[in-house]
Amino acid sequence: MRHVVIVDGFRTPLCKEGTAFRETDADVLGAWVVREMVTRCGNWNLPLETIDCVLGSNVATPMHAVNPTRVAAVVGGLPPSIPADTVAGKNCGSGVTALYYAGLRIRSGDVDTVLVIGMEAMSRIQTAYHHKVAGLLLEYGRAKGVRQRVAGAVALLPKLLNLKKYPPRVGLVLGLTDPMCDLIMGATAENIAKAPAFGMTREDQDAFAVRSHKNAAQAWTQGLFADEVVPMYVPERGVYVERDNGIREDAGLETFREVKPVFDRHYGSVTPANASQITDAAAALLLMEEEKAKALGLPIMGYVREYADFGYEPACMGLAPVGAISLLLRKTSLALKDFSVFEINEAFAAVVLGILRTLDSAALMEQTFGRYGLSGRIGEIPPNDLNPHGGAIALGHPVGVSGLRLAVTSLLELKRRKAERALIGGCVGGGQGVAMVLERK
Amino acid sequence: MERPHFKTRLLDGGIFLAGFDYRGKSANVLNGESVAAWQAVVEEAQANDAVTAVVLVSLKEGIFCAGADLESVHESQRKQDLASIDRLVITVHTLFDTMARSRKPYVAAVEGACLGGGLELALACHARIASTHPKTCFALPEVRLGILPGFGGTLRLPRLVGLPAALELITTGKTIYPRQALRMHLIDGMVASIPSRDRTLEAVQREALVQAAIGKARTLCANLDLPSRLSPGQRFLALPGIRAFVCGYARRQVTKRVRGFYPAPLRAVDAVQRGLRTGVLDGSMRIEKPRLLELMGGSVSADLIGLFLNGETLKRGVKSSSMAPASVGVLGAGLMGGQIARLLAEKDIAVVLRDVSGGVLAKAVGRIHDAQAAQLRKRVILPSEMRHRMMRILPTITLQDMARLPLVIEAVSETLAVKRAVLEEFERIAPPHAVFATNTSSYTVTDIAAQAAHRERCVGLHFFNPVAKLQLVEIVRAPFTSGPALATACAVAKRLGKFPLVVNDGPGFLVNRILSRYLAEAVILAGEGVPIRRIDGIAKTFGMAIDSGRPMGPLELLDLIGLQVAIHVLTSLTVLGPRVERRDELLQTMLPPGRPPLTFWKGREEHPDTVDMIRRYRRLHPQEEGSVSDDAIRQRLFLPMLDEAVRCLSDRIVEHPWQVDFALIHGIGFPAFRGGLLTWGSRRGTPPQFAEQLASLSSRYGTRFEPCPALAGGAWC
Repeated sequence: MRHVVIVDGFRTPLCKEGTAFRETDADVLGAWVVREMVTRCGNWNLPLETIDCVLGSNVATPMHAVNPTRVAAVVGGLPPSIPADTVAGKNCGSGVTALYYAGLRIRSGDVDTVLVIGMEAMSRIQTAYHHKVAGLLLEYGRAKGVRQRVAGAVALLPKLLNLKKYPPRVGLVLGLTDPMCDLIMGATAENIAKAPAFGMTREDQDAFAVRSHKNAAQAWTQGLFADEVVPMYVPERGVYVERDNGIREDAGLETFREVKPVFDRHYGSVTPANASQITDAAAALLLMEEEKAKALGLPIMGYVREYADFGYEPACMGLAPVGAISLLLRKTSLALKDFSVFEINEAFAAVVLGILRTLDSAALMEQTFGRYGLSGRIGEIPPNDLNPHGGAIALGHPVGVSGLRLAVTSLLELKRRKAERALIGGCVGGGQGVAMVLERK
Repeated sequence: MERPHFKTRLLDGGIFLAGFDYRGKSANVLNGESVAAWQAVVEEAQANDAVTAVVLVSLKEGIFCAGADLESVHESQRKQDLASIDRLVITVHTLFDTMARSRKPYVAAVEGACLGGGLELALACHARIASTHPKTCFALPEVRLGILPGFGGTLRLPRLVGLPAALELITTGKTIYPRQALRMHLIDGMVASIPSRDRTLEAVQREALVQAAIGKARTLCANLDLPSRLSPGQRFLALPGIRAFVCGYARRQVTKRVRGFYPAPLRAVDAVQRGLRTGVLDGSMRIEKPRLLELMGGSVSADLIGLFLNGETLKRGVKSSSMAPASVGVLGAGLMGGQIARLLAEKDIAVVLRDVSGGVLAKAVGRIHDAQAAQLRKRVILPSEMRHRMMRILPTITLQDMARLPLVIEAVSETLAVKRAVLEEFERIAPPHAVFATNTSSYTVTDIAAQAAHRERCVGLHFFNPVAKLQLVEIVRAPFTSGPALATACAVAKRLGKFPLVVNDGPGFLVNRILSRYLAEAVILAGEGVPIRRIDGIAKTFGMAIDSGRPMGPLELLDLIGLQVAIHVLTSLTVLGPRVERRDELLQTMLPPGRPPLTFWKGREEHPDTVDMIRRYRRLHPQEEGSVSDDAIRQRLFLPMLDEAVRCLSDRIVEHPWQVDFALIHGIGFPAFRGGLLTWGSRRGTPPQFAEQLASLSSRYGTRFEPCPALAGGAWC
């Protein structure tokens, strides 16, 4: 049996949309982490040709680089002979799925070494013209002679400025809206927060968000993130970035109470403060077949084990990880108590709370998952083991990178706790959930 | 068919393919021999009825034709033998005219550099097709050599690309790349072509470029009436009355740039303007040729061509640039470190840029990014090239990342202790063969390497600020520097497109040692109360830094260097003896603690604070009344430099006087039209005369002017 080990993994600082990385494209972010990995390979005396392929995770595909992983790999300094492709379709689960696919390829004996990278430049998501305006623009561009040009401009300008009738398509909003139910992700979180069965208050959500910020801030103060974060030098802005910049020093119930809900302005409880942040970042992990890594004398950070995903109602996508986790436990015959660290992506506080409460209650399980053949209380996740160093609410949620970040963070925490096993997972827009087991031995 | 310099072949359909392959040189050049060979080709093509069209291609990769053979031109200039040039020009004019008038179309397939006479050859063809090869470029750099395009360029170019564009190309000598050339109709087509490795006519014939040129030749065979592609606007600007106005504007631009020191650009404008009134052949003979010969006969052109050839000699002296390592480390991401890293990345060398401060590193990569973005905007590079360049630089704060590099260039802060510490740190992680090149400006390599474990690895690699602009790099050889270390440093410098001048180790090396005398004297003059504007004005009238496009006096140069660095260099040079006198108090007061240093200039005005400060300083240090004549100021600025240059030669910092001249022109902007410091000196007087002048300065202003014994002894070296 071939086992898949993680040799090394790291991430860039997570920078809020519109800050340090706002002028950096996803492929460039990816190239940075590739280059960092190339440097590390050099320090291990590992020839770059050892890497058999690069698998990337990127959701908001840059228009100029349809396969950003390939661009990142070659520009970042890998030989062009190493192929690369990108997992994009699993939305926020793409990172975990990329790890799984890479693991599959290694386990199957197809390849021995895969570099998995994640890159997301949410600041760079484009806004597109309304298709009618775009057509007129192209026509105007093709116009020859003064008469055609004037005619083109006359036809174009009123439509260009009439944003009501010809609204531009804002990529970020479209990307976060589910076409199956026309709900933006925040609205699906509202669906969980408002469901009476969960008994969730605004206070609960805010308290969870405050916890996330406090944990993350504490992790930075203790220097815990130094192991996973490589500082970045941003040429586009000439700034040095060492730290995640989304963590709020002023996090507290009082301050968060002031924040207005955005997804349901009047009666909602999901606010920007208790939702994840829109963020730019990149991460990389080097995966290798166990025997090969040992033969090469490389460090072993951990093992990639089983994976499960689950489909659920799109309008309530936040609950899907419950299904993924129960499938995973069933597959592995493990129970929640066998895990020492849980990293569940904090897309929204409501989502994580909903997951925790469902897992912990037979009634809720029956009510929400009974129809899919899953029932029975699964168990409680001890608060100390869940996202011990904060999550996407404090750090940010660069969609294609989050899965990889969870993997790196949880493995490093396992090492600190001298523990064995971690579970990572998260919800996926469109009504899916992913979960994966990582082990240190 | 084989003949000297040209290979020819008659293809199906009557296409006569001619491959230019100058025998015995790495580049194709035009001189008596190759022109005669081309003439034979043209004659055969004209006489042979089977030939319907001629396609001209270069059999040397990366170069179409470099233009006139400057070595033979320089030789004729030295012998004052203009008759041979005259003969060559007449032959070329008649030959090009035959081509242009021929009913058989001539098409140039241009891949690689197409410069000067080479471009004029291409212009004489009916059409030009260029490949997108990275080395393909077009320029008429003649004015930079003190002459003008003499093979009909001043006549054909304005007719092809319009008057304003032609004037710009001809008066500035600037380089045009294929995309721009296509837009301005300098070429008729552009094709992405893969050059054939095998440089024979048979192989080259299959290139997409040559095929495109053959295709073009076929269409031209069908219809050779070439309608002018000038736009109505361009035609309007060439109308007789308007033309004078456009040329007047060009003259003003030229005058602004070269201040009348260089006659060539103005003559070129003249030739273009008058040339539009006559036919091409007539104009070439009656308007262009006399002006060319006049310029050729002058000393400016002889100096500039000599300078150019010296540069070539320097570059050729480096055996092979393949010694240049594929990755280089740069220690210190300050102003110099960042610029060096940028240049390396631009020349396809991977860089590990290390500094102790992340913020400094980020600022450095930010500056590099901005420079690349500017090139991108000007379409000098493509976005992909920019991506690659930026990713070639690995900023790091970890010294360990430097452990596997064959060469590191040190550009840390200018403090001996820091430099030694950096060297020591580096030696701890580096293998013994790794080369350590220091970019110091004020210490000797011997000083820095004093405590090194492997001092044979140490060499000086002294770049000048701004690195991208100044072409000179001093390669400093200490007595202990190993051959491989020196070779690596030279190879990198050559790879970066710089002139690698090997100098021996000594305080200030060559350039700073001479420069310091000039700067120190300027400060002393300022301290005597001579207005800042006057000092700089006199230096500018002399032509200092004119070739950089921004004339600059010594005090403005001091501002540019930065006062702290300047003081540092001057201080370190006091080891040379009392002749390097500093006005420490004056300069120190310009460095108020806790505030940014004062500058002599603030924009285009003298800095009022500095003027005040000088006044206060003069009250504290009453000296003799500072009424000095312009002439005395000029003497006080330039004679010490001359004196120091002679001392450098007698100290064997460099071997030959031309090296001094070359270094000062490319290193500090000594005006090239004066031929260089020593050339200028030798034209102005004899060593004993200068010794006498210095002695009299010495008796009036202080012993710092004491002439060196060699000068008094009547020798230049």
